[in-house]
Amino acid sequence: MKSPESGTEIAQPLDTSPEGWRPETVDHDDSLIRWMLTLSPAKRLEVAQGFVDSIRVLRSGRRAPVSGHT
Amino acid sequence: MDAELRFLDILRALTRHEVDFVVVGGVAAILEGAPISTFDVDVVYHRTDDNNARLAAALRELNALYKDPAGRRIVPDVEKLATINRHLLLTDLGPLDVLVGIGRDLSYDQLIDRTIEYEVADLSLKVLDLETVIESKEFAGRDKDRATLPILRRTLELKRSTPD
Repeated sequence: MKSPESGTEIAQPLDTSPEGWRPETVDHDDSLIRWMLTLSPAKRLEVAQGFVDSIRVLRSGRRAPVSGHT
Repeated sequence: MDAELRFLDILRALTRHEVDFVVVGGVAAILEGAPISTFDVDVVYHRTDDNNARLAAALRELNALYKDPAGRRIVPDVEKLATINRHLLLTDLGPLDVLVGIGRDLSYDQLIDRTIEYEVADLSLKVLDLETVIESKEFAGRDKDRATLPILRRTLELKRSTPD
């Protein structure tokens, strides 16, 4: 068994600008990978779950909730 | 069945029943940091009598059925888990592929040394390392596997070049 990376509870909202990550300073093609690597495993799974949920909303013809939009 | 896919809840059900399994496939790649999408959970289980019984109980709780083009309701059970190598299932929490091995017939015993233990929410998961996920997808050679390989390889490069 290899050494573990620590995970965290997934109840917290995603931090979209983790410390040390600057989109303008990395190669464009790598920016998404670099961002994922800044996240804990739990957050990474949350990102994937969010994508699945979004696709499901689109397939069902419902509008996804938009923050601040009434 | 078009169940809402809940990655964590599927894994939680397996863990609650103390199933010995390794997370493989797309979810393993995601947990390792690859920004890909997947629409099922893939696991390799330890095929022993005791573990087959625990897995069968977990699958009953998930109301798992085999994907059957003919639409028959075929339920996984201990006997099938002991004799069939690939169980492509639909559950109340989404698609779940339960496998005896991946790649070049790599079974649970052979994969366990290629796993990383991740704490994810309240779960402790054995997750196949990204290098082996890549090997398994190269071996599978399906279009959907080949499509993700450049991202997986680049993710592995960046992980290796970035100290923990």
